[in-house]
Amino acid sequence: MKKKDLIFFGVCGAVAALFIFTADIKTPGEYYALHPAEISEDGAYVKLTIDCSSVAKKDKALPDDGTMLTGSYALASGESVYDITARVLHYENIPFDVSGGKAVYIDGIGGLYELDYGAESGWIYTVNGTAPDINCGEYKPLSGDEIEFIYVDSYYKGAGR
Amino acid sequence: MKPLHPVCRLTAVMTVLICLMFSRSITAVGAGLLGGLVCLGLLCGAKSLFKALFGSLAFSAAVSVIDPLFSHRGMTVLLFVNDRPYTAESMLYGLMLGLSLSGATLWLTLCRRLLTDREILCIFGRISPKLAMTVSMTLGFIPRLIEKQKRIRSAQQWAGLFAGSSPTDRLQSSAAVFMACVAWSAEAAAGAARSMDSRGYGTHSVTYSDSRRLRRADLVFLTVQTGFTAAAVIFMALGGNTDFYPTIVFGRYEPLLTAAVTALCLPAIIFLAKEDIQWKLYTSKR
Repeated sequence: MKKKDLIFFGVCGAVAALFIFTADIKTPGEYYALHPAEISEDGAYVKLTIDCSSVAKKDKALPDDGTMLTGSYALASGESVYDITARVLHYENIPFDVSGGKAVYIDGIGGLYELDYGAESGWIYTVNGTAPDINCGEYKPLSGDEIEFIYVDSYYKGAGR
Repeated sequence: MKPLHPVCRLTAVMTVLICLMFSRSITAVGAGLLGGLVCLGLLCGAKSLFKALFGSLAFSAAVSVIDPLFSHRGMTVLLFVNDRPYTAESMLYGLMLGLSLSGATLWLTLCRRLLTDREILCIFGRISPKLAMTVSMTLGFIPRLIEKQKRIRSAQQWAGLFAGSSPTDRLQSSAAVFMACVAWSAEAAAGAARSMDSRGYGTHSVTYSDSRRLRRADLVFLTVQTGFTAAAVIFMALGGNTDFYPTIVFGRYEPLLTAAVTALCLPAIIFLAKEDIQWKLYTSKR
C-alpha cells in the first residue's frame, strides 16, 4: 500500500471517528438519569399541563376531565417549551407528533390532532396564561413558569386574539 | 414482452412506478420492489438480480440509519444522539423511503430494457416530438456516458496514465475520466443541437415508420393494468398507507393496496417467465 493510500484511509477513518466520538450517544436510561423529569429541591422546574377539556366530552377515548397530563417537571438550562414538553411526553409515554422544522409545531398529542374538530381546531400553548407570539421551539421558559398546552376548537377565541 | 405493443410495456412500468412513488405503504413498496427484482432476474439473469438486490438492501439500510438523525418524530426511542431522540418509527420511515427509491430506480432500469429508444420516440413522437426527443435523450444519456467512460478509461490506461490499481489511483482516474466525459457530453450536446437546427428539426411535423397497432391482447393488458392502478389509487386514498408517526399503524386497506401492487407486477412477471421458459424449451438439446 502506498503512502498516499495510507493518508487517504487515515483521513476517512479520522472523519468517521470524529463523528462517532463527537456525537453524544446515550441510551434512554442514561438520558433520563441525566435529565430527570422529577424535580429536585433547589432545581429549576416548570408546571406542565396538557388540557383537552374543550372536546373531552365529544370523544370517549379522551380523559373525562380533559386533563391528559399535569405536574411539575425539572427544567434543564437552555431548554425551550418544546424541548421540555417533548422530553416529558416521551418520559410519560404519551404519543405526540410534530410538524415543521426549526419552527416546530406540536400538531397532535395523545391521538388528538389539529383539524380533528373543525378548521380552527388545534393545539396552542400558553405560558402563565398568555399565548406567546413565537413558536414553542424558540420560547425559553423560566423556573416556576406554568406551561399549558390547550386543545381549542376555535383558534382565534382560544388564543385570545 | 416484445409481442406486446410498446405502449403496453410502458404502461406496465409506469403503473408500478406511480404506486411506488405515491404510496407510503411499507408493504406495498416492498411488493413493488420484489416484483421489479423478479422481472430483472428473468430479463437479465441471476447475476444482475443479486447485484440489484444487494444494492437495494444496502441503500435502504443506509437511508433507514441516516433518517432518524434528521427526523426525531416517533415514540419508540432507541437512543438519544446529541440529546435528540433516535426513534424506531423514523428508522422504518427511512426504510420505506429507501425501498421506494430503489424500487423506482429498478423499474426505470427495466423500462430501458423493455423499450428501445426508437419505441419511446414512436410513443411520444406523435403527441409531442420535442418531448419524445427529450425523453429518449434523457433515458439514453446515462448508458452512453457509462460506455464513453469505459472507453476513455481504457484509452488512458493504454497510454500509461493511471495504471495503478490502488484505491487512490482509481479515485484519481475516475475524477479525470469524469471531467473528460462531462466535457465530451457538453460538446456532443452542442453539436447535436446545431445539427438538428440546420436540418430544420421542429419546423414541421415528424413521421414515424412504426406501424404497429393496438391489438385485442394489448387492449386487454391495458385494461387490466389501468384497473389495478385505479384500485391501488383508491385504496391509497381510502387509507392504505402506513402511519409511521407517532407510532406505526398499518393502514386499514394496506393488505388490499399491497395485493393491487403485486397484481400490477404480475402480468410483466408472467410474460417474462413465459418467454424465458419458451427460450429454454426451444434451445437445441443436442
